[in-house]
Amino acid sequence: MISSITIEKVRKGYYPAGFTLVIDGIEFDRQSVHTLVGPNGSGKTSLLGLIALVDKPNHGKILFDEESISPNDKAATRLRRKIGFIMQNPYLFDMNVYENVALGLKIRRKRRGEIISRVEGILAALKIEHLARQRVKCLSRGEYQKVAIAQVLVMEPEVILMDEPLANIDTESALAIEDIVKNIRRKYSPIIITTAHSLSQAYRMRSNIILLKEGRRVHFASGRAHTNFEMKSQEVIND
Amino acid sequence: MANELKGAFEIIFSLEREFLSAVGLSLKVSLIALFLAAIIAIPFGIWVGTGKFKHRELTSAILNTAMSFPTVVIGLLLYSFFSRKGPMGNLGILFTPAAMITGQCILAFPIIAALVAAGTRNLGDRAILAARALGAGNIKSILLFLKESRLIVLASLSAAFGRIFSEVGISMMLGGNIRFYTRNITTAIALETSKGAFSLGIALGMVLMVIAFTINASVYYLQPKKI
Ligand SMILES: Nc1ncnc2c1ncn2[C@@H]1O[C@H](COP(=O)(O)OP(=O)(O)OP(=O)(O)O)[C@@H](O)[C@H]1O
Ligand SMILES: [Mg+2]
Repeated sequence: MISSITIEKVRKGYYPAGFTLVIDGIEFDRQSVHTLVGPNGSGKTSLLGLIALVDKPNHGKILFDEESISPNDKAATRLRRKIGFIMQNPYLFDMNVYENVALGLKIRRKRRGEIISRVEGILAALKIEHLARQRVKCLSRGEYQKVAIAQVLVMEPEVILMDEPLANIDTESALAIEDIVKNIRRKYSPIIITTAHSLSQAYRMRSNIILLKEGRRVHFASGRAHTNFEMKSQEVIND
Repeated sequence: MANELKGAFEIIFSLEREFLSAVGLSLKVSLIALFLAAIIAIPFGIWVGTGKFKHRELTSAILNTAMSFPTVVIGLLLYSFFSRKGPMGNLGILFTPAAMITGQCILAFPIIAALVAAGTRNLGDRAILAARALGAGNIKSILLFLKESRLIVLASLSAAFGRIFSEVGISMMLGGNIRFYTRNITTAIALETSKGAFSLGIALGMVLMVIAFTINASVYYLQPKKI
């Protein structure tokens, strides 16, 4: 079980130059949820992409339990199976909902019976059982997002990365998803890193908040010290 | 005209040898050419569509241009290669079905590759990234991606088939329109028409259209539809 991910002296720029992500010394552990908060273009997705091992930093290291892993390493393929990444703009395959949700489990060669019961369980928890046989091309935007969430959570990954998972999700469903995440934490406490524009969601999850701005970390607050932090971080976002 | 039409149906239903041989050769040559072109053109098209290399734009521009290569130019080039004094003259394949297959293969290649490249351009990065994020290894990612792009591939194959099945320049120049040997549907129609005998031409024309239509219709029905 991976118990911590550390970002060490990481730089990630894009061509043509402009934006550069510069992050050093953030550690993500299993004790609480971690929320990356920041305005559009502040580097939240970029950072998650590096942690998910789908993208490579120009400099620096991503350490999984002290072991530095880069996307092209042999170890990366093995490690990626322990990481679940709900992308900001998820891509589902041209199959039905059930098959999409089962895909990750199939790749992990789980037994048929186990796949069926786990997929049915997560679809029920997200209240989308009735969509099981529907092709994903025909889903509403919010339903599509729920399938993407189910596809990752069903694998019970050791690391869960969620890039604005609640975009396009109605309030009631958002609360249901937060409950699912709470249950997952109770069950096996994975490392969970998520992103958000607003702080309210982070407060509800009593999550650690990492405030990003223009590719840099400008603030950190542990889940226990939110009240003092609230005002200050809102200022940073606004200014 | 009514007489010719009646004659055409008689030819189709009596399965005249002349008629059957042309239809059979057309199908054989075009299907083999399509298959041979496809096994290289599909991976190549995917590579051009999704790969990251220096001259990607240039490569796709060349492919797009090659899509409209005139058949007579391909015929001319291959003719000079295969003719007895040409660099590949010792193969002795001029005026054989093999020469026709080679020509149609070259005709089909850029069509398949260009359409696959255009179709997979946006899909590629996203589908492969998604497969990887789900923990799929290289081979599994490519398989998933191929499954995702099956309709693009199918559409490109049907476009290429339509083109090579109905071309006449290559078949005429490289096959030589030899009766019961290299005479296919299109060269037979050209010949019969020039002789003023329309019935066989009409019969063959109808078969050509029916086959082409069947293939396109089946591709259409394979597409998933929004209800
Ligand atoms: N592949 C890329 N090529 C060039 N620039 C990129 C690329 N990906 C991201 N960027 C740039 O990097 C910056 C950070 O992008 P990122 O997607 O990480 O922001 P974000 O914090 O997730 O924003 P949002 O809240 O809008 O999702 C942006 O300015 C973006 O334009
Ligand atoms: Mg983002």
